[in-house]
Amino acid sequence: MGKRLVEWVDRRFPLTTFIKHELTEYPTPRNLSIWWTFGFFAGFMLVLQIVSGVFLAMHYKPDATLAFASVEHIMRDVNYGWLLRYIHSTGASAFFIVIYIHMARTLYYGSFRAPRELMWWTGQVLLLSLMATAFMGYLLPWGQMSYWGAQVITNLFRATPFIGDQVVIWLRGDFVVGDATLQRFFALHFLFPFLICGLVMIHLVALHFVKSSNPSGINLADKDNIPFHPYFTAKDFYGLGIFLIIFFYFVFFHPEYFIEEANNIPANPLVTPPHIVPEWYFLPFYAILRAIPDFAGGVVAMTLSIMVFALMPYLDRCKIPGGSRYRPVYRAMFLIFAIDIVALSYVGYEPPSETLAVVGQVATAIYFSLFLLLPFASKWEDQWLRKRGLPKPVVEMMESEQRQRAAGWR
Amino acid sequence: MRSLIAVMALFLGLTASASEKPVAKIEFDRSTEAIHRGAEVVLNVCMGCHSLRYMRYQDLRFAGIAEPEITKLRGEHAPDDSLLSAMDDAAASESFGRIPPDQSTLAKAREGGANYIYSFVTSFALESDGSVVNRMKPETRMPDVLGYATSSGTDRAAIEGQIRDAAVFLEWASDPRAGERRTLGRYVIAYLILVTVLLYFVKRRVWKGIPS
Repeated sequence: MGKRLVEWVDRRFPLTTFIKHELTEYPTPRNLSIWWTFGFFAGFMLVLQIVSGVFLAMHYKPDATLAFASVEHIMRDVNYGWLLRYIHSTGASAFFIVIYIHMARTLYYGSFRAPRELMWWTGQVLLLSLMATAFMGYLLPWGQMSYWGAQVITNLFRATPFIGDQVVIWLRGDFVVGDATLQRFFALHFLFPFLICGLVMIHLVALHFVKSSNPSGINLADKDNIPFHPYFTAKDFYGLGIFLIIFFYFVFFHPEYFIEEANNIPANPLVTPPHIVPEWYFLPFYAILRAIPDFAGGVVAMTLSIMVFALMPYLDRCKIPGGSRYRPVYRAMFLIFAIDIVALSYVGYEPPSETLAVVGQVATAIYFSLFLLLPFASKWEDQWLRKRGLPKPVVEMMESEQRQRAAGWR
Repeated sequence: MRSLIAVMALFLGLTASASEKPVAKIEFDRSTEAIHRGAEVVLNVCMGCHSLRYMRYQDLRFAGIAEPEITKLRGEHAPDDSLLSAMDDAAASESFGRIPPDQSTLAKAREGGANYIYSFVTSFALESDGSVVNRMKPETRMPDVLGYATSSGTDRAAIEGQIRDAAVFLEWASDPRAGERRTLGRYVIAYLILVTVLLYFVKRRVWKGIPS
């Protein structure tokens, strides 16, 4: 019966072919480490956020006079409403942790290099969409930090040349963040995740065309590939178990860890909190914004600090594969970059002071210098490493990749 | 979030400078009895001016307070009535110049939670010019309730005990489902650990059959 049903479907829809091509015969490098699991985690977080979000939307009221109370209603009166809400609020942070590790892996192992530029760029669009979704979602609880965070961020669009003021009013639907803003942010916060699903499909189609990169940084010969299912389904679900233990530990035992205290006070347009901070995942970029004394300059720097990642395939001119693995200079730069991000986050969180302003400016300078330096450093590193003599396996890998390239990418 | 920032600070060798009177670290009695005593204080004293509008009388059962005790506490009110102050917003604005902050989310809304509330209420001091000022938050409009209570001859230590109980009650009221959450959390984590161990063995077994 089952077999006949599958045959019936297969004559009308490529079900078996699809499963073969994408899972049971999809070749995956056998040396993928734990860092290659984070894409799977990100997909899982997207689903979890959509499911918990849809149920929250059944009880939430996008109205400036009711929003805060409806969140408290969810937390107190709705059956397991507290669980839905804490999964969703903790989920936002977990999503960004996963995405940032996913990006860090791509940068560390040089996975953005040819032929995976389009994966990197669709990833960049995904990051921007995720940031927009998170930012709009943060307004919905209608707490003090929600309100003033949205006020500050929408105000950044004032830097648009000539029509800045009009753009800000157009975004807010009012002269200040208000009921109109809340309602449109709710509508868009509901819409964006489905756009993200579509983008994820494109990201995955690109992935299944160029196949996974791997820690050696080079396309492997066929004998080094194993089918995705059952090997990586087994590995990914084991990883997911560990991830969920950590995630639910926060959901059940420290759910307020990622929520600012001030966001438990209802939004009040007449009282500005003494210190407005964005969510932790925006802190490095917020610090860059504040590091530039000029308003428009700060906005441009902040935008650049996010968009500059897209240039990575061109900034990195070293032809030696493996990202940081065989490249000490690139590895050092990656490490400095990681420390710099932590420093910027700290500066972004703390109230401004003279010392911190200097720290922020130095960290911002380091941030951009690393990207500016990369084309020269990578070129120099390439020549230096070749002169010093590359390890034999690396040379062999590069030769095999050259052969593959000559034969066409696939 | 605070501890994450502290780790970052360590990373950078920087320390944040404190600008306010620090919040005292107090050992609280968080038993059901203490929450019950605190409920009596909050309902009879604090609610003279403050509301807990997101709380209902029947929610007190989540604290483990027995049904007859809840009936006693709610008096004339219906079980699903919100805990609203006796003073309406207009009268409050006239007396204090603003509506006293709602207490249902107060403990979550202040860094330090119950510690903050206790420290704040006990921080009123007589200045040399004869005025009473709160050392932690000089701009507050709240009168010195501790001072009033002791002026009628009640022992200060007893009143401080009541304030501790009230702070514990408000901490509970800001997150009334915390007990339920932690209980369920233990089962969920235990289940996930079990499943993860099993998934580990599945993974090991699957990878044994890897073609070489």
